[in-house]
Amino acid sequence: MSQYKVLVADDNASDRLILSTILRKQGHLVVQAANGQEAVDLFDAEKPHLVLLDALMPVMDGFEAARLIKRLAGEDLIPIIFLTSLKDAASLAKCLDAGGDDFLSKPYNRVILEAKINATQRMRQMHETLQKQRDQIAENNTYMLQEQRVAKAVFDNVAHSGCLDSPIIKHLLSPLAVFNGDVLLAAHKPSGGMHILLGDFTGHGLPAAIGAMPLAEIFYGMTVKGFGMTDILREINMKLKSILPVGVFCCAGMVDISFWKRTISVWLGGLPNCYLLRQNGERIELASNHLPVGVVDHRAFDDNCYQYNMEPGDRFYLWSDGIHEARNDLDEMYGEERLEALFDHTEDHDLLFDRINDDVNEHIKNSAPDDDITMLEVLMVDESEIREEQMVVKMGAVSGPTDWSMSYKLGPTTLRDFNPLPLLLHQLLEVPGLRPHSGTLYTLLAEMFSNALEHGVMRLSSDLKVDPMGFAKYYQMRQEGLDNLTAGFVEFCFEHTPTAEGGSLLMRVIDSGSGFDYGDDGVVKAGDGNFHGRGLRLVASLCKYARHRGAGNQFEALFEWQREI
Amino acid sequence: MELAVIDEQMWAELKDIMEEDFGLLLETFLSDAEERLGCLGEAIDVMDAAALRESAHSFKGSCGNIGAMRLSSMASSLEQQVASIDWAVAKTSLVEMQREYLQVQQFIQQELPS
Repeated sequence: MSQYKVLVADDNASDRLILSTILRKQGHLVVQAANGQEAVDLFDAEKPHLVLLDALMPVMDGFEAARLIKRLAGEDLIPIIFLTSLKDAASLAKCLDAGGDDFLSKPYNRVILEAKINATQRMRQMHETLQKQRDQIAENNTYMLQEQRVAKAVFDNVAHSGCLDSPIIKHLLSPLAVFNGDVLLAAHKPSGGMHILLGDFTGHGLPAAIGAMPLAEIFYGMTVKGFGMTDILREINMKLKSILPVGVFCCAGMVDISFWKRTISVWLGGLPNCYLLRQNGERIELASNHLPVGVVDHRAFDDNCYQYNMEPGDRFYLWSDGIHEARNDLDEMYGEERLEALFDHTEDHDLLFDRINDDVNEHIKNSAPDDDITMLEVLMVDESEIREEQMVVKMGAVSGPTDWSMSYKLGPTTLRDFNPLPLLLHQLLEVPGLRPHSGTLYTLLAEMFSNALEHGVMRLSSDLKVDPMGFAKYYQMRQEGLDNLTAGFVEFCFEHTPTAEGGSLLMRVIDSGSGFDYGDDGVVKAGDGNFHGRGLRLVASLCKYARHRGAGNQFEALFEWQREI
Repeated sequence: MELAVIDEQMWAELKDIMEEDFGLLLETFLSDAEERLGCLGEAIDVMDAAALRESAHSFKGSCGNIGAMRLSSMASSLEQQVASIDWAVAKTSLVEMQREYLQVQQFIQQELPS
């Protein structure tokens, strides 16, 4: 049984006495008032848990006192029980209408009084709990809003360090994009040209936005270092796959525009059809031919891109499905047909972007947007128009070593256990001009290395490589040979020299084998013959030249690269 | 139905509730009742309907609480008369109440510990 402080107000002394005694016997503290005014004053001074008010009192009656007491109580719920000898329903109802929470009829019944006290106190405690919870919720909410504000600030800094405000770009991105998972990135490449990426993360709110940060970091970081689009996409895919939980991924479209070559490369994964619009009105619709980023393993990642020529005046449009899925109040989606119609009926392409925005908003009108509209238009221009903008970027581009040489020799233990190619490639990519060619360079290193290791050090013969059975036997022997390797070496020598157009990389691979008779000049030509030897022919096709040297245990190739602008 | 001067059951219950304060209650009632009857008389003399109703209502309540049911019922009808008051009738009613009160007072004084 809890103890409460009860205020009893009744102008009749004997009534007060009876009630107070009953209450005291129940273990409560009692404070007495003889009229409405005293009741209000005592309420203010004593702060009771419960008020028992006689309805009719002199000076101030119970109803008026109840009104003032409720006001004094403010947000808190202090139950008021009216004491009345009235018996008719209308009068009893009046007690409740006047602000009472219950009534008690005279003559007083102890049992009923106790039951009502407990009931009203339960009500008061529940109300108190609600208040505490409400306050807690309000506090949590304030905290969360603050967190979101900080997140948005960080996101804005990361995501908006690019060239979206270039004059050749028109774009739309909601200021609340951080909370709907949309991201739009654009950056000049140091070699000339531009990378643009539109991302639409699954989900909403901060979880959707969190993936955008590493994505933006990789995009800007690698673009400014001169890496190619497919390398960047591969890196982004690997990163997102590793950090995002299952079911979270990013529909994305990435574009590599070259103003010098007037070409565009497009990679689309999970986005709706994007359009290439030629000045003459011809429209090419590019469908997503890949899964969104962050879904497949890096070995399964497909970096195949669409390649198109673009003349000055041609435009490319990238968008998320926010446009297609925008609903009006009849729950109809905007859809691709409306979009196509808009393209068909707009003569002046300059107006198209704004028209799309207006039309979609007209469609949505009053109904709440499901998805904010995110879209981008990029205009192909003559290279001279963009040069000045890009100059700033060039001067800020990361630089690297230009004239240097190195050699790296691998002994049998290393050859057995370690793949040296990534490390060597990494060294080569310190030269900014070589970064767009990382795929090619890896191929060159891989072919020359396997040639040196298999034919030179392990003396395997290519004669086996004529049919599938032969290939299988060959690779089995290769693995055995590697497992049992105790002697030998492969040495890589690199020499990089700057040239007028860019630079040249001389690569030489030397093995510990005895070599072979390669005939007159040892030059390998791309193009002819049989299955074996095709590795070296591939090298020849990618380089200025490729040739055997020395006793046949040395292979040399020269790779040249050109600056774009 | 014939109402008792004092309702026996209520009396017993009250005694039970009040225990050692029973006497205090009875004395409080008696002094309160005298005052209340005086107020009623004054209200009738000056023909103050509002004051009459208030006092009658209050007296009804306190008589009811102590178990003086007949007196309480008289006060109740007086209270109800106020709407269409006939002061002469009111005066008569008051006299009857005073007579009834004497009986109640007698009963109580018997019960009071000396």
